[in-house]
Amino acid sequence: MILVLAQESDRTADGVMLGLVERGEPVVRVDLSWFPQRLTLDAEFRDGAWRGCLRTEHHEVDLAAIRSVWVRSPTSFRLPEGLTAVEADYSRREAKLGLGGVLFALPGVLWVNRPDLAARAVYKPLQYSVAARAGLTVPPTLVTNSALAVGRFAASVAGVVQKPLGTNLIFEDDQYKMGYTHLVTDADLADLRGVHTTAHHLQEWAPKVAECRAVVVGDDIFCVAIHAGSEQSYVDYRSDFESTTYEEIELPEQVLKGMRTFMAELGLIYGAFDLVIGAPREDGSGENHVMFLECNPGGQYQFLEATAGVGITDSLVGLLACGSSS
Amino acid sequence: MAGVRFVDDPLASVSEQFPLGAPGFAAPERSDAASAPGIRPWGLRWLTGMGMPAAPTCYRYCPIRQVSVDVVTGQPVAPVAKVAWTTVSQKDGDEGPSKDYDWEVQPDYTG
Repeated sequence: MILVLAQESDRTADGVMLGLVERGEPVVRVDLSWFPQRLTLDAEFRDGAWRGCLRTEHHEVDLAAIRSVWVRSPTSFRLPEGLTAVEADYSRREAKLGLGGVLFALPGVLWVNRPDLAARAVYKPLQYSVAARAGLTVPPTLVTNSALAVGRFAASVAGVVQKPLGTNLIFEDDQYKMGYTHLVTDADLADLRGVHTTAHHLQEWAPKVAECRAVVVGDDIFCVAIHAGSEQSYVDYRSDFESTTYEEIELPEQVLKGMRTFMAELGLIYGAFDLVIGAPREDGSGENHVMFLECNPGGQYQFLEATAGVGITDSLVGLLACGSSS
Repeated sequence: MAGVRFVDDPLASVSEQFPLGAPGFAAPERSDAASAPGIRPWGLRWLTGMGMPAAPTCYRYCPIRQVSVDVVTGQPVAPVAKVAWTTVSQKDGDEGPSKDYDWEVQPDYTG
């Protein structure tokens, strides 16, 4: 049995579901927002093992039969109306520790990815250390709440970008706002008010011929170059998708090896690496040198299939169908 | 008391042990205006407004087939070749350029 944790409106997850069904694999899809109102957990611990089921109106998962779990993007528990704030906090905590705890306890399950390991892996400063140990090149980076340190760092490199350490999407003024990578200007550096408010993340600007998203699915790696078609997308391709073009490429073996080592150290099975393929610097160095920007354990991939034709869905389907080898 | 110790732990919360996102088309209950310069984090100066996502109207989730299906035919909808969201240069009215969420409606999960 394969358990897919994904929200309802997720057509990337649909693709994997259809692939699994086509192969005849038993699969149940659950969004954790269904718990506790549309999803029932019935689990007993006896004789050293958890037995029981997860049940929806139309489907049932035998806990003992689960061999793979794909944690795509489940949304948070939706509790019954009428709870006080204290009751809701209590209920949410109990739901997480109960449902999450039972799932974590199941033996021999292939997690793609294990949520606790994925959560740990989102710490970018940790990623940089792991990537460097794995032989990948990481641009000089500053994390600080000191305006003085920002000035010092900016003066030490040819150019500097600012980008968030965590999610780049916030809700404010009744709308969503996205924070893309920003190429810092002299005017920005002249007014550093607000740096002290929290940690800020700056990195040396890496001139590039292209960006690359490399998606690791178990033993498979799919590498797609992303070519900017505008000034905006040259700094951050996500800021102007429509101008970008895509092509599947091969990366040097040492980069592939570095990514595999990175994944192994962090215990990840799936990861979407954002890399830069360097442009030549003034001294002639850096051309085609691949630099590590980040690895996203929940990174999107369908746009790479749509634009470059890489078979990530098939790879995920195969991986989940095989399950854990342990 | 298991778990209580970690609920508000700034470095390793229970949340992070089993991270969960907000529903894709839901707006958070609360929306504040930006704070004044000087207190607002420097890193939030360069945000781009994305508007509000709209729930799809041509397909819906089928709890039996466990995938999105066409609202008319009931058949699973085929994947489409779109990127994270589609720019609509101008809508009717005076709201100006906007972005409509489609296809991969969620940005990368980064915690």
